[in-house]
Amino acid sequence: MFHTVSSSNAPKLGRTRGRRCRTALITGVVLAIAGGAVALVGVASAGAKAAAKPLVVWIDTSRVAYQKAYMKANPHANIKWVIYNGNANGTGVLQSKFALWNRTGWPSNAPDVMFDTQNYDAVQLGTPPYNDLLNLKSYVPKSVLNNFAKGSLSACTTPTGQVICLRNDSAAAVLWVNPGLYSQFFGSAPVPTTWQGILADGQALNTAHPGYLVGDVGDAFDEDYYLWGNECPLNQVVGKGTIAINPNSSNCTGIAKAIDASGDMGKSLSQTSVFGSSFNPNKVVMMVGPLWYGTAVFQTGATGGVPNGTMVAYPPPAAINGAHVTGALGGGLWLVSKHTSNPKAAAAFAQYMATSPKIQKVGVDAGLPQYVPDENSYLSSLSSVFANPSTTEAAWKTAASEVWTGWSPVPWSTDAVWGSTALSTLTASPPGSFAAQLLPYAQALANQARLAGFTVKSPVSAVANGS
Amino acid sequence: MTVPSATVVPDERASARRGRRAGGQPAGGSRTAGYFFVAFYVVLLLALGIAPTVYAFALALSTPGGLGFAHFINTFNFFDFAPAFEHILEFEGIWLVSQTILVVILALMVHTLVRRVSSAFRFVFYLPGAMAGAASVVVWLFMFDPHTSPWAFVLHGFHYRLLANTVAPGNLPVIFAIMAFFTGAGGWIVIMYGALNNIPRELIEAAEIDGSNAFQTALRIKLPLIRKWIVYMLVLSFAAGSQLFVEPQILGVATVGEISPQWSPNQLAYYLAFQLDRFNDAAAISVDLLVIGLLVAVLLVWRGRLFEVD
Repeated sequence: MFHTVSSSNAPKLGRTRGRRCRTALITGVVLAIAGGAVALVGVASAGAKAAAKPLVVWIDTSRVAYQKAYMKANPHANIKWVIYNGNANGTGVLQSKFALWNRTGWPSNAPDVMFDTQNYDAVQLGTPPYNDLLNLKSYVPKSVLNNFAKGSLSACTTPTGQVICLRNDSAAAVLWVNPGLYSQFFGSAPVPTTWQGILADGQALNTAHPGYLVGDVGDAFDEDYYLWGNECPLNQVVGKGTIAINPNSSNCTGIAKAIDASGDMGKSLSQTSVFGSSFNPNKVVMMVGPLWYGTAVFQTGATGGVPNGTMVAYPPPAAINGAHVTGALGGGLWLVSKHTSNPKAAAAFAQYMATSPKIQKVGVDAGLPQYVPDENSYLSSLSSVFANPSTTEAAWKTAASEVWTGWSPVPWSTDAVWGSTALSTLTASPPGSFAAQLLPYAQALANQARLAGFTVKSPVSAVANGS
Repeated sequence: MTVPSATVVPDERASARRGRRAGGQPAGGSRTAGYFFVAFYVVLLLALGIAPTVYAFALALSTPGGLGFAHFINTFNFFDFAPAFEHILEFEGIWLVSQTILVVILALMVHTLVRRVSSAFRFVFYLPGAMAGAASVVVWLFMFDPHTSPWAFVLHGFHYRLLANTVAPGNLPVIFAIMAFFTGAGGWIVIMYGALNNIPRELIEAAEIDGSNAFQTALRIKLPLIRKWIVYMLVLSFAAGSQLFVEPQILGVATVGEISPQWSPNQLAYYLAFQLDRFNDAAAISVDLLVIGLLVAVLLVWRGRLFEVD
């Protein structure tokens, strides 16, 4: 028995012993590798910490050209560039990050400087409950601030007078015209200078040359031209935390009724988004749009776009009430975080990006620099892209100074509200009435205002009191 | 000699007997392994399930004046609170009814097929489920846009010429129901098929001997026996549907704002927390959703007798 037990156990024991040895060996090797890796990481991060902390800058893809220009001019700059979506289209990336970090503490890789494509963000992020932006008044010299175009820093000024961002470019709306098509259809008649003129031209095209366009109603941001550009008081902050919303104002109803009466919607006022795949920029005879439409929408010089040297920018149409104002869409902002560990460097960087001619003349994709001394060198770089550069330059400069300041930067996206209330009716076939969208739009804006803690002043009780 | 083999085998049998004698331990394993695996799950449940729920309750109930329901009352009065819940209930109504009917019918039909054909069909039904949330939205964006959709003739039949027409606000509950059905139905058909396989063959054969045709067998025999699984599907689907977020959020971004960012209650909670920095109100809405899901689950489990053993 004894002999057989040992002889039967021996192979098993031998196997077990061998297995245990192997297990121990493998475990030992794995631990050694893990330990070594941890040690290496520790050394590497210690080495990185030994170097100075880089300035963390968040930009969107359109600003990559700025990044290249900056690194070319400052090759040894210690900057960490991060590409994000630019907070575009009301996605609220910065808001959600700031809200989170305000609760959990700001991490070391939080951005020091950010480029924001949404004009209404700065005041929201720079005032309570966020309160996360640096007051640049103490870092940027007054002379520099005074050199920004008139009214351009209004979206950067809090009600208490802090300057919490720097304007990058102007996106004022101008009247883009394709002179070749225009003279083909309208001969030597002067380019329209009023909204009524544009709509009348559209009526002529509806019957004579269907398919050619004088404008667009298929985008959520169209109210920035039609309503803002006519001084329609749907978004007017009149005091601290108080907003005036009046859809019955003649400034609103005038343009709305004119659009309905013309019958152009669905014909010469396209219902497709200007960024849609089926939008043909070569069919645009004229269109009110911001400065950057020249490259982004008409795709000047690109395949499928209009050829180089085609489009000309004319001054924006006067409002129905006769005022020389225009709306705007976009124009980015440079924000500096209050929680940055190096406020002087961050503010200096933001100032450089917003004012340096090395940056502000790069690429036609951006609008007109809002730092006035940079405007001329920028405009001269456009001469190959657009026809009639002198008219285009003059129109841009005029438009940039005519942006109506009565459409205020508020913490909600007026574009998103237009998109969710009016867009589906305007893009239906047949299209609904533009004038009928004013009241629901005003009510939705009033609801958003109340949600954000504003008081709503309106002569229309349904708007003032909420439905 | 047979001695080595004869001595090896009794030892193994002895150890097996030893194992069994040690109080019913499963052969080849130990009770501690079971506890170990469950402990793993309990840790995750506490960290990622219980703790956030407690935190949400704490946030929702803490008002400046101590514990109270102020946040619940505030959010109830928001202009978009009622519409958000109306949207979700409309969506759930359309989706749950159509999903239940179609899944059960398809599962019953698939169950009657020859095995190889049946498994091929089950695979085909299951495929759309491979596209989770965001991926399926991107696919459906192409399907709903009359310019890119292979089913453009269907959309033109409804007089939709633009994506903006298809996703007009009135159509949204139906649209989300369609999207949710295509991604979820396949998995549930597979589960129902498994439930149908659990039905003893003798029952079905007895019914067939008694003269029942396939339709009567399905209706009278199979359907009542998978009732518990249908209740299970309803409980899980209701909970998932009430928390709809990805589809309306992405569709809203893709249509550049045509869908309100506060369409569903979960979106409203997200907007309050991460756009307006109002975490307490957002937590109140989350607690509302939790309570509704629990109530419906309790109702279905009780009336559907889910935990009764036959």
